[in-house]
Order: sequence, then structure tokens, then C-alpha cells
Amino acid sequence: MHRFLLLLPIIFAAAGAQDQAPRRNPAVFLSQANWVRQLAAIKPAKIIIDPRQTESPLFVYEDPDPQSPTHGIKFCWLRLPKSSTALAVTDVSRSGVSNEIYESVTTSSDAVVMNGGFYGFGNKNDFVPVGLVIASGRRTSEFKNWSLGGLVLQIHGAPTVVPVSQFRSLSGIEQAIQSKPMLIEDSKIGIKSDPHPPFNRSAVAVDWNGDVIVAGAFAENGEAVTLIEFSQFLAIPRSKGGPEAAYALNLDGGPDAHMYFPKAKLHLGYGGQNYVPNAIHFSGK
Amino acid sequence: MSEDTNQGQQPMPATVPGSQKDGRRWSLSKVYSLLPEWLRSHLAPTFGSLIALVGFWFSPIKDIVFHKIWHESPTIVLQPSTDKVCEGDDFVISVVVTPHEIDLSPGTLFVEYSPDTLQLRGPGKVISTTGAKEVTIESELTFRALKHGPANTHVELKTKYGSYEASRQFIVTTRDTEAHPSKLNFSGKWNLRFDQVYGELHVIDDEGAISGSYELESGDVGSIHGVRGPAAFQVSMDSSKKHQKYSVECILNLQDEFLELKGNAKAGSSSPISFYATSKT
Repeated sequence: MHRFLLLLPIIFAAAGAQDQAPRRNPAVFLSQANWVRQLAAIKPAKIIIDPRQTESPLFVYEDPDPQSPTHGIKFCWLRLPKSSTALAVTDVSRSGVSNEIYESVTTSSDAVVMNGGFYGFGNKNDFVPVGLVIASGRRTSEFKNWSLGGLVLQIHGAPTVVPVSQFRSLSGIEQAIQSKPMLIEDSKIGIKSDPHPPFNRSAVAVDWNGDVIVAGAFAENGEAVTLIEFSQFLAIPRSKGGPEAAYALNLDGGPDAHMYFPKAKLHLGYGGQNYVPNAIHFSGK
Repeated sequence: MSEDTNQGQQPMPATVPGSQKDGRRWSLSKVYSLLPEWLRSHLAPTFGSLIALVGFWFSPIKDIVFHKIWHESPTIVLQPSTDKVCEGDDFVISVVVTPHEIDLSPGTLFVEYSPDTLQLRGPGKVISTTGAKEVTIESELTFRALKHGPANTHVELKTKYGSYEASRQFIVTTRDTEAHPSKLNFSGKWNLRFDQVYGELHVIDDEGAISGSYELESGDVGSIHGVRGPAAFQVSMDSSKKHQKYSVECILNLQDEFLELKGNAKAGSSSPISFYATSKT
């Protein structure tokens, strides 16, 4: 037994040598949720996405250790003050190179353009949005009676995130995207388990001040984080480097998760061939 | 008795045959003398050349000289008896030889193949050939497909004037019918065309997490890994033979009865390579 224990470091070293870029085992990492908090504790890169708003940089966290199993995963978040931020939803419904599509729908006042909700297949094998979509007051996709999830919406010029359980009426909504699940509800992590593998993620959240937070987790291979890891990141307090979201809504993930910061000409997420059903714009008022 | 009989007779003149020769000599010389002077001077060299030419024509030197002038350059094609080879199938690959410029000499055919996927049932790995004057099936190689995977057959025909090769790659497919991919789950077998080389893509789709493998007729095999959305297919292809990693970006097209993955692959900063996979739903 002692001999076996002595051999353990050699066995682990050999396993490491065989796999220079070790892949994460989600089962192991679910029990090691600390890595997300540890990552948020390192000094983030601060990217000024709008020269006029230097107080709201985009924070980007990345594990610098190339031997780390989480190396290459980027967490990012950006706070947009409620007083000067407007939401717009555009009905895109286009196939092509997603980087180019997002650039083409960008307006001059946009601080960030990002992906919206889910989509599926229509009767004619075409792609159609799933869940409520209201673009500039026009409803382009119907509300889905999901038991979970929520909406990012704008009423009277004020953007916010509302869980579906608190959603009452469609009246007065100027812009809206319905999606799921809620990652944070009332400052509590909304995801208890996630059997799915890691994917790229994007989310819209609000903090207790009502400021809008856009956040994402991206890896070049599209396998960034699980929903649990993403929600843990969104819940990290500001004092510890996190966005400290009060309510956070998950948007479409995988290759569809995309964030574009036009003033910094920065794309995050898969930029190749794809279909973009709609886009969420946050711009200065 | 006979001696007595012969004693009384005059012996036959010894010149009888000689006189015939003399007569012929006389005739030849008479003919020769009748020829004009200019012709008589060329007759001996011409006759000598004629003898040399006939000798050359029937000697092995002719063959060597002809091959110096016209190079033996046959075309060899390996023609399988079937378009699709499944595990356990016996099939024939015909070695079709087409001579060009000059007849193909007899030689020896050496057969090589992928032993992990194929078994040669006959006639053997070394076969004597008789040569060919026109399009000829030099040999019919009978194989058995052992198991699923890329297979390669290669022949080399060696004659005393040269060595000529041909290869044929194909995929040995599984006999059991696999589940067809659908727009909601890409798991299953796809026909693949990667950089104009045909092959198969075997996808395992775990709710958008993609893994699997591919094989190309060129013999290249490898694994795939990545993600997909309803429309996008983003995977890396790791070639275990070329030790090359490709980044594949595709979009799903839905046809009436087919799914298409259309896009390209990139290895580092190299130019994009076309990637196309299709499957019947």
C-alpha cells in the first residue's frame, strides 16, 4: 500500500505528460467550485469599451497558467449605469458569419451588442425564435409559458431583468427577450445542478442599484463553463472582483453566445458561420 | 557381287556436282555481269545490311533498342468490383493495365494492402505477369473486408524496363445500419468531403457537446471535438496521422431529406479548407 502511495505522484505526472492540455472533468469541477472565485480574485484586464465612460470598463478574467485545466476560459462583465443606458432588441433573422452580422446591426450609440434568446426550427425547416421577442414595440415571437427563466425587458426607457414568476403583463413593454434559466434570483444562485457539459455563456443581469450588467464566459473551443459555474461567477461580490448580480438571466449559449463591443472593436464568442435570430443592444442615452 | 558389277563401269565423274555448281556460279556471275556497274558496287553492302537487319529483328537487342526509343509507360488502374465495401464482404480489385507507346513487358506484380482492415484471399502478394499489347486485366485480386475503417490497396508492377504503381483508397463500412442524424441530434454517420477527399464522419451529440471520429479515403483518420447550436457546428479535428489540428466552422442547412454541414476548416494561419458533411435524415 505504501509503495502504491509513493507511486501516485509518478502516475499523476505520467497522466499529465500524456495530456498536455488537460480537459476539465465537470464532475470534479462541480465539487471544486472555488476555481471560479479564485479566478475572480486575480487582477482582471480592464478594457475601456467607450472612451467617454472610463469608469465602466469591461473586466476580463483569465487563468494565466497554461498548465491549468481552466486556462483559456475568459469570464467578463461590464456594468452599465441605469441612468444612461437604454435597451434595444433587433430582429436579425440572418445566417452568415456571426461577427459580420453583429457588426452590421450595430448602431453608433451601442456600447455592446449581444446575442438574444433561444431559437429552434419552424414548420418549413427554417430557424425561428423561441420565447417572447419584442423589438421596438413590435412582438416578433410569442411568449412561452415556461415554468422558469425570465425576461430582459425595457419599460418606460428603463431596462431590467424580471423572473418569469414575477412577470405579469405584456402591456407597455418596449423591448423584450425571453430566455432561461434565471442564474441569479434575489442575489441567490438559481442553478442547483447542471448535467450538461460546459459551453460558452452570456447573460444580462441587474444589481441592487438597478444598473445593468452584461456578462459572459468564453473559450475558443466553445466549452467554457457550466451553468453552475457561470451563476457562481455572477454572484461573486464586487469586493471580490465579481459582478454581484441581484437578478441574472441566461441567454442562448454554445456557439450562439456572442458579445460585441463596437467602440473597442472586440468580439467575444464564436464568430464563424451561424444563424442570428435577434440581438440585444445596450447603448448610452 | 556388286563390286564385280561396278568394276566394269566407268566411275561417275567427280565433277558432276561441281559442274552443277559451276553452272550456277556461271549463272550468278553471268547475272552479275549483266548488272550495271553502279548497282554492282552497292549490291554487297546492301546484301550485308539486309542480313544484319534480319538478324537484329530476331535478336534480343531489338527489344532493348526499342525500349530506348519508346519508353514503357503503362497506366495501371485498380478497379474495385463494388462501390461500397462492408465488413465481411469479399470483393475483387482488378489490376487493369494499358500500355502506351510500346508493349508492356512481362514482369512481377507486388501487392500491398492495409492488413488491419483487409485480407488478401488470392492470388497472392507476388504475381507474375505476361505482358500486354493492349488494355488487359493483369490480375484480379480478391480481398475480404475485415473491419470498419479506411483501407488502402497498392500494387507495383516491375518489368525489366521500369516500375509502375497504382493505389486505391476506400472505406470499409459497418454492416449494421446506424442511426441517422437529425436536426435535433447530430449523432450518427455523415458522408464527409474534406478538402475534396471523401470519407465518413461519426458524430456523438450529447445535447450540443460534440465528439466522434472521422476517416478519409486518403487514409487520414482522427477525432472531432466541439460544440454545436441549432445552426452552428464548431469543432476541432485532430488528425492522428498528420498530427494536424483543424478548427472547423460550419452552418447547418436543412434540405428536404438531408442535413448539410457546410463551412471550412483551418489549421493555424493556413488557408481555409472546404468542409462538407451530409446525411440523410
